[in-house]
This record gives sequence, C-alpha cells and structure tokens, in this order.
Amino acid sequence: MVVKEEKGRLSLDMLIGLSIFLFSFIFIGQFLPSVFADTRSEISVFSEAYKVSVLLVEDPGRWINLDSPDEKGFHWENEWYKNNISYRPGLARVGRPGFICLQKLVEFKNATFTNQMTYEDDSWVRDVFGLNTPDRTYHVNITLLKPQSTAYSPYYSKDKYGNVVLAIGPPIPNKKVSRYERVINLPAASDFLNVTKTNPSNENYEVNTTFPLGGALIVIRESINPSAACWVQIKVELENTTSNNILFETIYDLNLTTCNDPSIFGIYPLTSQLNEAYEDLYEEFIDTYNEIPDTNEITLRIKNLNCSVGLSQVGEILGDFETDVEARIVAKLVVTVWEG
Amino acid sequence: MRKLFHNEEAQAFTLEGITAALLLLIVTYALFESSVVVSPIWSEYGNIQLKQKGYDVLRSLDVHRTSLNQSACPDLSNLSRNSLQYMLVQLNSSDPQPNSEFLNAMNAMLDPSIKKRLEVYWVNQTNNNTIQSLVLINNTPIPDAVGVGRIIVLYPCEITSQSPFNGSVNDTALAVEVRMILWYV
Repeated sequence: MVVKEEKGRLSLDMLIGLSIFLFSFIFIGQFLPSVFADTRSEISVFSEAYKVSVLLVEDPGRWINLDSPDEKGFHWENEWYKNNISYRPGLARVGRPGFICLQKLVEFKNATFTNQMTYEDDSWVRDVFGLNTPDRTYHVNITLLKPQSTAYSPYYSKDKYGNVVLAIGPPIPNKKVSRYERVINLPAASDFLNVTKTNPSNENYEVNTTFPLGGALIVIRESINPSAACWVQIKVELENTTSNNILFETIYDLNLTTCNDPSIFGIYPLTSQLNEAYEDLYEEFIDTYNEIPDTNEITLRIKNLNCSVGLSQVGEILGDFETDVEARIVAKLVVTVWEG
Repeated sequence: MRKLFHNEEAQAFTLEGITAALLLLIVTYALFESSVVVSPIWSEYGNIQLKQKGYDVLRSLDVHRTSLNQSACPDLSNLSRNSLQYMLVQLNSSDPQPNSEFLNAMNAMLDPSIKKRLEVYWVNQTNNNTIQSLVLINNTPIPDAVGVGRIIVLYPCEITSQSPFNGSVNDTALAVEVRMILWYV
C-alpha cells in the first residue's frame, strides 16, 4: 500500500516538472537564433565592406578579352569600354597596393556613370563586386574624404575646381551600416593642388579657400640673394564682406635680415596650423562681432625666396610636390555597406 | 504518522521540480535579454579596422627617397618633415622626440578617438647585434591594443653624432622598425 502511493506521487511530480522544463527548452530553442541574428548580419555586412575596400585599394583590377582569352591584364582602364571585354575594376597601381592610379580612378567613375547614368545608383558596383548574393542584397557607398573626416563629420575630397573626387552610391541611410576606412595615397596631380610659386620680388598672394583644408605644404628651396633680407609670412584671414569686419592670425613668420642660413630651407607642412587657426578665428569672430564670416582667405607674403606653397582640398600633402616622384596626397577611402 | 510523512515527501518533490524549471527559464531569459552577446569574433572587428588603418598610415608616412645627395647628407632640406624618414633622422639622443610636423600629419590621419604609442627598434651592428629600442610616444596601451610596424632604411651618413642610432651602424645601411601600438579610447 505504501509502495503504490509513493509511485503515484512521483509520476505527478515528474509530469509537472518535465512539462515546465520542456516548455522552457522549446522557448529557448526558438529564442536563441534571434539573439545571434543581429550579430551574424553585422559580421556579413562588415566582411562585404572589407572586401570592396581591399579590391579597390590593394588590387589594380583585371580585364580579359572574351573572344581572345590570351588578351588580358591589369590595365582595365584602357579596355573596359571596348566590345567583348570582361573586367573587374581596382584602383591600385600595379605592384603598389595603397597607391591609387589616377587614370583608374577616373575610369572607375566613367564606368559607373556609363552603366547607370548617375553616380547615385550602385547597381553596377554591386554586380561587379559581388554584392548581390542569392539570399541577400547589399547597398554600397564609396567616397573619398579628407583625412580630418570622421564618421559623423565627413569632408569630401575636392579637386581645385571644386569637384568631388569620388562619391559613388546612394546616400547612407539612417540604419545599421558597416563602414570600412582605408588611408590611401594619390599622386600629387596638378588638379588636386593649388600651387603658388614665388618670384624674387616682394609678393603678396591671397587665396580664397574653405576649411578644413585637406593639406598645406610650403617648400622653401633657396634664397635669390643670400646677402639680402628675406621673409615668409602666412596668415589666415576671416571677413564678413557686408560689415567689413576682419580677423586674422599669423601662422608662419620667417623674417631675416640676411638669407644665408641653409637651415631655413626645407619642406614644411602647415595643415594643422592653418586648420587650427581657422577654428580659433571662427569662434573669436562670432564672439567679437556677433556675426559669422563669409570669406576665408590665406594670405602669403614672401620675399627673396624661391619657394612654393601647395594647398589641397583632397588630402594631406607629403613630399616635395614639384620635384619628387614620391610626393603624394593622403586621403581616406571609405566604403559603407548595408543590407538592402 | 505514516500519512503525514508521505505528504511531506510529495510536496518537496513538486516544489523542487517547479522551482528548478522556473529558475532555468528566468535565468536564461535574463541572460539573453539584458546584455549584448559578445563573441570573440565580434571583439576582433574593431581591431581589424584599427590594424589596417595603422598599416595604411605608416605606409603613407613612408616617403622613401629615390636618390640621395651624398655630399649634402644628411639632406634634411629634401626630406618631407611629415615623413617617417625625417622624424627618424632628426631624433636627438639627449631627448628623442618626434618632430611636430610628423605628429600633426599622423594625428590628422588617425581619428581623435585613437590613442597611440610609438616605438623604434633596431639592431646595434657594432655591439654583437643586440636589439635596441626607444619609446617616442609613451602612452600605456590597453589589453585590446593592436601593433603595426614598418621598416625604414637609414643611410650611414644620415646618422649624426647626436642621433640615438649613432654607434649602431658600421658602413651598411641601418634598418629601423617603427612600431605603432594603437587603441580606441
């Protein structure tokens, strides 16, 4: 009698306990995949952004003639528009990853525009970089930005005519995206630089510009007359053209009675000084005059020196941009990918 | 007496079963609902981007020379002041500091949220090939920091008597590894 009662109670306990446990187990089983789905999606999008950035920055691209497969190579930029050519773009110079070939960059834009008739449609770019997979579609935005840019403050690289150097793809949406950033090297091409060269006389130069500057560099080569006085003075000047209020700050001031000290010759970057002076002056202008400036100028006053000043809205300038083949402009190539 | 004993056993088993199942449910739900799931792969993401950026920056700052004027060596006027080469050549052993132009260029390429430590390593060729090092930017990295490096070649004539590399080289070029450790703040 005692044995029977114990067995009956035990089955009921087990039944209740097992029911609750199974209910929990099934619930967790269904709940877990949704917990990891977000992470899995992020991993997938991030790797796509990485892939596109590597193909663009580190690879020169490929082309092949489909009618004659022996005709192939890296210089797709000379072949892509011909008949029966299959190609995949890359922007790097052959054998120099991280160094961008200017012609490839131009032709990449041309190919995008030819295929889609606009830079904002990324259909062709998605196809060519494998961003249309059987189960997912990704959108991509590829831009060239000044080094001072951050994820929340993008400054587009612009040539000296004010044209954006590279911006392909639709606007970045206000949703979860993956952003991959590469620091790249562009040739110090004349379109990317606003160069002021001096002559022996006392010269004043005024350059209207926008801030932040991508890069600024002064190259002082030699004095014209070593026994005479020489000077270089560089100022940032902000003005409101309606009220004619002006504020300025001198960021470089070399003033010698004789110009025979060789230690003054060299290549001096000025980017940080100019950008910081602008930031300081802008705030001071508002505080002082209670209005905002509408003109930004860099004024140069140079005498008795053979020198050049290079300003760039593309990126930081490294090296002697007039003589050295290794001179370069450093900018950020940013690839942003999101699920469509 | 016997009946009372049976009741106690039954209540004990039922309560244990229900309590254990509920506990399992609550704990599991709380674990996955209340925190972000951090996997090792996920934490690597920031590091991949940071390491890549570090390599890219060192490559951009490496403005190597295509020719060297031996008679004017060390030819500082033909070296870009924001390059790795200039930074290394201008180092003074009494107070080895990177020049401001180099630091400005490096800081412009790296976001303000990135903190860095900069070290140089080289082999002392005249002292039994021992490895020597210098810390140029002395910040203490966090455990998640990443390290990148680039080898820069200095010519013997570029190593002046004030240079920390003085005495490390005989008649051959000196390879200096610039090592940058980066982390997010």
